[in-house]
Amino acid sequence: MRLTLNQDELDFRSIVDDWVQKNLPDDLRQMARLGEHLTRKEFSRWCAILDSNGWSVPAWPKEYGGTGWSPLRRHLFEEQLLLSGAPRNTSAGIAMLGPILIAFGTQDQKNKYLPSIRRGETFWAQGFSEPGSGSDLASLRTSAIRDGSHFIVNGHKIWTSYAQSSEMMFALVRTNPEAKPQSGISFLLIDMASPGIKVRPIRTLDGGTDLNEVFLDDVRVPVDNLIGEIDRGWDYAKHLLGFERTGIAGVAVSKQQFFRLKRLMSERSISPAFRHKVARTEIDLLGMDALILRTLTENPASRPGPEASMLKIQGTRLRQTIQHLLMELAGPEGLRNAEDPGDYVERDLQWLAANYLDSRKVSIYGGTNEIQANVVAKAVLGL
Amino acid sequence: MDFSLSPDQILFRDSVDRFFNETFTKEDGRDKAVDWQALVDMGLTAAPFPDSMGGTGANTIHLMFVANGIGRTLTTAPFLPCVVMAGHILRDCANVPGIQPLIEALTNGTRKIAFAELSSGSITQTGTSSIVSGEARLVLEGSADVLILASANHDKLVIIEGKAKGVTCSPFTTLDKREAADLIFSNVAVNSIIAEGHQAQQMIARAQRTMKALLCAEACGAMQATLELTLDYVRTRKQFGRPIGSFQALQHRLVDMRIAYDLADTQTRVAIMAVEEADSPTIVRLCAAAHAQVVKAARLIAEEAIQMHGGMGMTEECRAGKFAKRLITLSILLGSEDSAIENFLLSA
Ligand SMILES: Cc1cc2nc3c(=O)[nH]c(=O)nc-3n(C[C@H](O)[C@H](O)[C@H](O)COP(=O)(O)OP(=O)(O)OC[C@H]3O[C@@H](n4cnc5c(N)ncnc54)[C@H](O)[C@@H]3O)c2cc1C
Repeated sequence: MRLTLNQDELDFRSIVDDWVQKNLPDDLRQMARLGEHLTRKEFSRWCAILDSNGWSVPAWPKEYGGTGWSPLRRHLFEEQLLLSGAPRNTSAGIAMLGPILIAFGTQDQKNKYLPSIRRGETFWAQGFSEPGSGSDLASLRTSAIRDGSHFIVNGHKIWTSYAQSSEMMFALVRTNPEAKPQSGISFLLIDMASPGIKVRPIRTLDGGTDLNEVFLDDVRVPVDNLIGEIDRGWDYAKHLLGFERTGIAGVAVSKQQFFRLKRLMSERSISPAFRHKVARTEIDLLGMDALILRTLTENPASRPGPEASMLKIQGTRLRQTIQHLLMELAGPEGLRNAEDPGDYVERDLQWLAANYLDSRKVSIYGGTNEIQANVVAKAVLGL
Repeated sequence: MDFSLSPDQILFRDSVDRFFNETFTKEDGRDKAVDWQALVDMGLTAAPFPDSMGGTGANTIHLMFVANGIGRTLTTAPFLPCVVMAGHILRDCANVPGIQPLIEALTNGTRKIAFAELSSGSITQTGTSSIVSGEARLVLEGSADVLILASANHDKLVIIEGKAKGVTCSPFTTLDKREAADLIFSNVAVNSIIAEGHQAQQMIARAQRTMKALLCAEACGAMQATLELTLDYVRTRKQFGRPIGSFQALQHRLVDMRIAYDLADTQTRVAIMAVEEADSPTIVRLCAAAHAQVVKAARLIAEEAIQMHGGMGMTEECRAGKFAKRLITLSILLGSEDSAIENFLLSA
């Protein structure tokens, strides 16, 4: 045990910081600072810039353009990017499909899809949830029936982030209605330009436009687009949900938002009661940071297990507390609807209420906090 | 304390409930002018004024039922800013020349009247007239036809036409889609001061206290509806082959929401009684207590309602999210829980 990072890691952080200061475009910096909605366009641009330095997919193996960094270094990297003022570089393609393809895809599939994800050129949507199947994902009903060299896909996906601006979607589909729910599901890659696909956007309560419904009506998907074996999709997805969960603890975003809070506080007069709450939250943030570092350094060789669900629960609570503090800091200025805020809005405060509303999603997506707690109770506590 | 309602209050509550339930059922694309006219037709814009001013003489307890109804149905018509806040000041100034016609115009719905206070600048008296220069930020219904404007320290109250020369009105919508504006006054000439000094300060303090208690009541209406619709949702939404409301993990939290609501609604009623019996020495303390409970419960209920609706709760169409935005807006208008606790301490 040692309190400080070694010199190597400290140097690494300042290398990342220097690079961001030189390469982050001003408009992206400004959007990230104010908490504005980023769309696919901005994400793609930032991904391509990172790729020019070999940094767009740090978690992937080196042979696919990754960095080969240790989990600790990757964590420091993600954190430093945000603290240096950059937007996040996460997309379903980078964080979810990439690792799945690398683990279970054929060489052809890897060659075909990985490079354009790495460069930020293709965007992928995650087509898992359905209207009747959210927490109980294994009950999903979108069906794929083999017809020669194709699957015919019919069904209805919902909450599909960025479907409206994605070229591709990876989806869970039912290929064997007779088997037990988890054993009859396959993992398919679907071209969003296929005939029979209709995308309906869903506006979120903060005014965001990331979410969609996707209707699939006799969509023909080549059998080459199946990942791994038929009816084994659930196993691959579970591998993937594990990835979503560690990232979703979101301590980097929490830190970034906490520093935003401190910056805004330093420019205003603040009541002692508010300072007290902020200090309480800072203690929790220190704790969260330490928990993450402990997970990464204590047993670096062990695979992430159900403990990740605890990180998600605590991490999302922390994030939501910070967003609430930010909204509270805005005071009456928070009354403004960020999309129609009038001429006299204080730009630094404009998006705080919307950011708070948006942050309510982090305890819902990627498996709700209730489902995470069920996992912990069973798999960690043995109840 | 006696929480029982008189037969007259029960009659009023039931008719107000019926009115809101029947009139404000359709949610989207509601025409604001039609909504406002409905309040006028129901006689609610006349509520706070006595008979002698052509009003219906409703007291704070009656107004509480109206505020509950507004919150429960997410009505956007500006009852609180215009009828409660501006209305109470007009009522208290009724014998000042020129005020009675404004009361009539507000009552019969021909003109909207809002209250604003200068955040910077001043009202300067020059002989018989006055000059206003300064800004009033974040004014609910700030684009109203007529403004009752207070100086920053509340020692002067004047009437300004919204369209008067020198008034710049920059409108915006609030988080919960209501109308508000920032106002800039540059050398606006006004005829007369309708109240000044200690008298003006008392008047404003009284109206603001009533306004705050009724904002709490509006929040209670919204909380009640949010709780009901969340209960409906968990009874019908199924996952893992059973209603999600059958999971104890959610049940216990719904119980906590109910307890928080009961406390908030009860303490709001206490505050309403204190405001109605205006000479109560503990009025500030009781209002601060209601405020603290309401803001705390509003956050809990709004956040839990969204959470229990899952992905649906994050959508703009979902009622849970709309109520959450109303509850957040009301909490911002009331001020933070910290400020309520601070007021509570100061009142001791
Ligand atoms: C912003 C956002 C982005 C998303 N992006 C995507 C995406 O790109 N692709 C995708 O496939 N999905 C996506 N989702 C969907 C997300 O994964 C689901 O919303 C989530 O799994 C919950 O499912 P649900 O919405 O059907 O809620 P439900 O499962 O109906 O849950 C409703 C409530 O019941 C609770 N509950 C359910 N079961 C239990 C239980 N057994 N015990 C206790 N409580 C329970 C839940 O925790 C929740 O509070 C996204 C969601 C959001 C909000």
